[in-house]
Amino acid sequence: MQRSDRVAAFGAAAATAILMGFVVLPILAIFVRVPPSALFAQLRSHVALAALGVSLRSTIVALALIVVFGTPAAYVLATKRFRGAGVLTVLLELPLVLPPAVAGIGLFAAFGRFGLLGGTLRAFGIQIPFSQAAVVMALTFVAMPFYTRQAVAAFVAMDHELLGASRTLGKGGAATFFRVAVPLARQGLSAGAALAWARALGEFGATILFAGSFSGRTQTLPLAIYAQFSGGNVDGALAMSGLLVLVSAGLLVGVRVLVRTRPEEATWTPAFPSNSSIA
Amino acid sequence: MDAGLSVELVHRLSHLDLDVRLDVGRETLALVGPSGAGKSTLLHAVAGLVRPLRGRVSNGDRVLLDTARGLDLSPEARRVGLVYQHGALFPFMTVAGNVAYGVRGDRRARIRRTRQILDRFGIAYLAGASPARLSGGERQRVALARALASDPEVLLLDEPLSALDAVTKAEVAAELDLRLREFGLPTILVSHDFTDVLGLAGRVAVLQQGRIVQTGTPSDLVEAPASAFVASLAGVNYFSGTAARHGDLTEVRADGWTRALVSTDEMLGPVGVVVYPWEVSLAARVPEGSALNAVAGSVRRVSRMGNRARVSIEALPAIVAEVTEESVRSLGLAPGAAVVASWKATATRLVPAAPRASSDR
Repeated sequence: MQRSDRVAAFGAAAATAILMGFVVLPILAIFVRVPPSALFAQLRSHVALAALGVSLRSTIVALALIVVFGTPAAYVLATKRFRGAGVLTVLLELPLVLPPAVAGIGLFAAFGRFGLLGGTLRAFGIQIPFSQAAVVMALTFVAMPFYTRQAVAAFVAMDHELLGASRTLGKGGAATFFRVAVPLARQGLSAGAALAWARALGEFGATILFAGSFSGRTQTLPLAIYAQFSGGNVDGALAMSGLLVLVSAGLLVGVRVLVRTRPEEATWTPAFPSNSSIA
Repeated sequence: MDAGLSVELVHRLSHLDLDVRLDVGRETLALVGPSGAGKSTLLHAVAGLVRPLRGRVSNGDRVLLDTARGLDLSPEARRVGLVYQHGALFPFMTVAGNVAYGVRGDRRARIRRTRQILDRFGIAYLAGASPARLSGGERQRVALARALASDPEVLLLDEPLSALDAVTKAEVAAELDLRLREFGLPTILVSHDFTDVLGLAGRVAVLQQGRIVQTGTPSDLVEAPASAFVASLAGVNYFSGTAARHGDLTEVRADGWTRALVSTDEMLGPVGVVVYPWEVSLAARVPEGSALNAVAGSVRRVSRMGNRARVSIEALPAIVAEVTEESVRSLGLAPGAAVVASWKATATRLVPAAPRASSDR
């Protein structure tokens, strides 16, 4: 009995060690292969800076779209009971399991020159594929469910009595959403936003199919890494990879810190003396 | 009653049908019943948080809900304040933020009104505190202050005392009584415990399985409970039996009883018998005396309340006695102990028999 326990404990420890090694080694390798000085030199290259700019701009716009559209949608799905709510929830999560290449083709088939809405868009003089708008759409499509999933879960977990209390205190549905639901769910919402941002930063397949890889216009960091790598500039690819690792790890740590934030901490006190005595 | 709250509701829940009519003037009506009887659903329907199948809710001239006319005011338009059992304070705001939340008017007026309410409720010293750090009693006080700060025209209280310990409960009840008198709103106070509402509510409505089975003052319910169910809520003994005259006295018999119960009340036929636990004495053997009722049995349970104790006795009929702590000690009352419960013929009160309600268990 004791012997088998020891064997099991050893086995579990070994499995953990092997797994950690497998995850840490490639990340470590990126920084070992390129000395920091070379890393910084590579990062000052025109291609890397342009890609970083495209990545930051497009992910921030995509994240804003995701939050603005995803938060109310998640709130409705989490709090209202209606026919078809389950189907809607599944549809919203579909991009999570869809191969990114399929997402890219789908976007192309919908918004491309000869796509479903292509004619309508052309009539308005709008051409989406291979533009920065296409990058943002690809990122939004792929990263949206990472946010909405967390948001739905956070809204479901709310104490619904607090919503009822807000309504009976004279606040309408919209005011209750902004003043009670969002603050209550803010941890889940922030965590979801960070995850969606991380996913958008790493997006590759849907972007390259729908937006192409034009340096300075649609070439995001992952696309630039691939371009450098296939062009033979392995050091450049490694340097940009290192940059992505740092940004992503920063986001992950950020999520951890946000989730640990004390929920009971008060954030708003009107101008009152906090220690006035009772009359 | 044209002034005050008038409620008529029919609603279908998974486990029961709610069918209730209530009129509440400028008074506190307690709605008492076991959990699952539909009490909270009724409150939520009055507040507008649940839309009933059919119904009409009005307060004075204001109609809040009339399903026949397709009228259904949103909760925020009803001016119905609701205090939840655990307070439902917003955890991300301070106490002052919570109280200010529902206050109407411009920023200046809101700050003034909030400060005034905080002072009036004696919670100004908690203004900057986070709800998580409040005690149960403080939380309830803040919740009540917050509800009243929004100037409601009707007040609903959902089990405001049941989450509190005995000492805090007494304090909060006293404060609640004061505020309810001061604001004088039509108020419905929901509780599963009859003793919690004594002194707070002028009238009590008993809700059983979605229906109101009796409405009256607390003493009405204690003196003449309409059913064994109401009697058990009110904490008095209730038996059903058949009465017959026997000389100057009335004898009540029922199947399974070892002997008839004797009463000085005059009644015939099917009756309800009410015996107050505090009029039952306990002894080791049958006491002397002619007009005494005596039932022998064994102690099932002893529950202490302060220096009194309620003793449940396994007998035919089963009976509850309320005696002093000293009697418990001197008689050695413990589960299993043999004991004789006795009471006077004048303490055997006869009330009209309960109509056989289908939901009566």
